[in-house]
Amino acid sequence: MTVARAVRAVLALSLLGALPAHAQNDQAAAADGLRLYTTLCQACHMPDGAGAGPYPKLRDNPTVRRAGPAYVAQWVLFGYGAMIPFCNLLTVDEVVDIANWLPSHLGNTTAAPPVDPEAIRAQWPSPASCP
Amino acid sequence: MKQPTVAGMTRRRLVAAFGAALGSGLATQALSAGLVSDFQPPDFDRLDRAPRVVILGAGIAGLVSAFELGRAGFDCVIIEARERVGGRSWTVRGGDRFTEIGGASQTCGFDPGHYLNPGPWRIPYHHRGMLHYARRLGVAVQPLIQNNFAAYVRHGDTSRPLAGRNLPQRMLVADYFGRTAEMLASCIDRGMLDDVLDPPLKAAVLAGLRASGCLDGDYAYRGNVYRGWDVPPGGAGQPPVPSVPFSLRDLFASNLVSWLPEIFDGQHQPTLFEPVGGMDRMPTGFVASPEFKARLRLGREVAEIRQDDNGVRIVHRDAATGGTEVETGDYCLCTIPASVLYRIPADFPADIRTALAGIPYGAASKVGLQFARRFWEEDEAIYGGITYMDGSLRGIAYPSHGFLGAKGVLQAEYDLDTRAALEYSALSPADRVQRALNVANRIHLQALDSFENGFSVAWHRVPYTHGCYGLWSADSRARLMPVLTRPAGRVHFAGEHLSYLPAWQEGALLSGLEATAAIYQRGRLGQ
Ligand SMILES: Cc1cc2nc3c(=O)[nH]c(=O)nc-3n(C[C@H](O)[C@H](O)[C@H](O)COP(=O)(O)OP(=O)(O)OC[C@H]3O[C@@H](n4cnc5c(N)ncnc54)[C@H](O)[C@@H]3O)c2cc1C
Ligand code: HEC
Repeated sequence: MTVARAVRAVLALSLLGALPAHAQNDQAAAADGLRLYTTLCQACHMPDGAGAGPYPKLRDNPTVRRAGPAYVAQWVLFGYGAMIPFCNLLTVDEVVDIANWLPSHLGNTTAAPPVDPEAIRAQWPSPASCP
Repeated sequence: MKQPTVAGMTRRRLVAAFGAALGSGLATQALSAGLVSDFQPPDFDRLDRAPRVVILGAGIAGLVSAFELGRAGFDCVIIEARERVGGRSWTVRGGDRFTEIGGASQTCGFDPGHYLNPGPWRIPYHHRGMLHYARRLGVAVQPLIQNNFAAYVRHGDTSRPLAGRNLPQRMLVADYFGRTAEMLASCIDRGMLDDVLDPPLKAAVLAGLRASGCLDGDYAYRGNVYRGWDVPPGGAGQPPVPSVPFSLRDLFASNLVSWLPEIFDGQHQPTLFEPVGGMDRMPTGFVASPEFKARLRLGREVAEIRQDDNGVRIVHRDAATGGTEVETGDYCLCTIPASVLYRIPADFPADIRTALAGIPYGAASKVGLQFARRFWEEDEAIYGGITYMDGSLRGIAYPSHGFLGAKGVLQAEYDLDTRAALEYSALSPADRVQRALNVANRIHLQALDSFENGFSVAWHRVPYTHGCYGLWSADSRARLMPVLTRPAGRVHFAGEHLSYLPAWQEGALLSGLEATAAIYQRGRLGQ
């Protein structure tokens, strides 16, 4: 399934109009999480979070499950080694969406709390340290 | 020390020549604004002893260093993980097979004589180091046409003017100069800038704007000959009809003028070159040279980098079977990309480990599409150059070789916009080819019909590279680069990422030569 088709399928299936506002937002955020994963993170972490070579598996990832969205947000904002930081590539809302999405998708479940835009904004690296 | 030379003249003589002609104030300015790399051909005296150097990686940085250290009498061995030399300097031809990280394999289906350079593909005239070695190694080069006013610019945003049209770059350039000159000249003519322009300057500026913008007697811009014709000049029966320029509003509201820096960029100005037959002629040229004395160990992955007071110990393993061996030497030159190196066990101090893990690599992806017919030449008179566009794929490069031939390979150009390039990299090789073909077909409706096969490389999926080039932030360059330009004991570092010409072979070459000079000094002094 192509990325675009996957995203369209998710959007088409959702009963957006019939749901209360907060559920609509959750669904839109989840769709964004999936879209960001398949269009960006997948370049390295592979379809379905399978991982390969230097890129760790994100499916059923014990650290992601335990440490949850705040942990994912750290990686996405700052990167490390062969993982690029996304501080110049994503918006605050996009970082929130992917950070909250990963720990409860790709075979992960988490008891850790979600991150919110204020927390992400507060951690954002300075422009001079963002490649 | 020898005087640095610029085009055969010493710098001092050149300054004198400029100074005489232009006045000394301008002389220094003309030099500092130059594009020419600070390359100087190394000229080491041959040592009597033969210190041993283990070079890690056979990319441009490793090869140039092996070449020069060998000439100076050093005993060099290169440990290279791939089965070929060149690293990122790589050419893919028909029959070549490539398996990317994740396991997807492709076999290239190009016809003989056609190729894709998935990485480096052009050498600007001012990359003096690369051209020095091409000359010296006898690697034939040919012009690479990057700027072609017949190629198009194009955008797809229907909320803006001129969307969805192939606009020859000559129109954009002519109208940009014409419309801005017209606007400025009419303001000046009406006295709106009289407070900053004294009468002689005002006259000179008006005359200059009229000439550069091709304005008429009323300072109006009505197009010009280099913009192109609606009806081209023909025989006596076909008088030419000039084309009508875009309005000021369409030109600027379309935002197409944002492509101008791409066209005029210093790295893109003519003349550019490419090795005849593919970029890998440079690395294979080094190895084929009778002056190249290093021993080459291909297909060997560096597994550990160790050292003590007496020397270095490099553990390496067979990339296929895993069998390990050890190579020892007095010094090590490590040109492995930081994106790979930071995970290799080594007894580096903490600041070096931190620095190596602090250089992420930019994304890039390229697709080569082979067509049965060179329709861009036959139908549209585009010979080389790049069509620029917005969207997921920002350029299509037309080949600068094989003109008027039967077939051709278009390079669906990589994108240095990291996000767009990652989106390409996230696709399977087959989907990348399909997507590039769809985009090519939007510009050239003949593309689908004559498409034969394609090949794609996404650099984050390339083993032993893990990305396109070292991506510095202002902060990391200031903090981390100095850490890595000093040796860690007996281990010196080099590569594209340790230069101010990132993502260029010249950067790898200059960095390799810096490290070479440092190792030469140590070897000479026996330190
Ligand atoms: C898409 C793209 C476009 C580019 N365009 C241009 C261009 O037009 N012109 C230009 O001049 N430059 C261009 N460049 C940049 C150019 O390719 C690089 O700057 C240059 O080739 C880097 O040389 P290097 O020796 O530093 O590294 P590399 O070429 O990466 O060499 C490093 C070597 O180390 C080896 N290695 C890695 N890990 C190990 C290990 N564990 N053990 C042993 N060996 C190992 C690798 O296999 C490789 O051979 C481009 C690059 C890319 C990716
Ligand atoms: C350029 C390649 C690349 C991209 C793109 C990328 N990553 Fe990574 N990621 C890596 C690498 C490499 C590591 C491991 C780094 C290390 O430990 O040396 C990693 C590690 C991680 C980890 C830690 C895993 C663990 O087991 O602890 C998380 C979480 C993660 N990435 C999330 C993401 C998300 C989410 C995205 C998309 C927004 C993403 N990555 C995009 C390369 C990438």
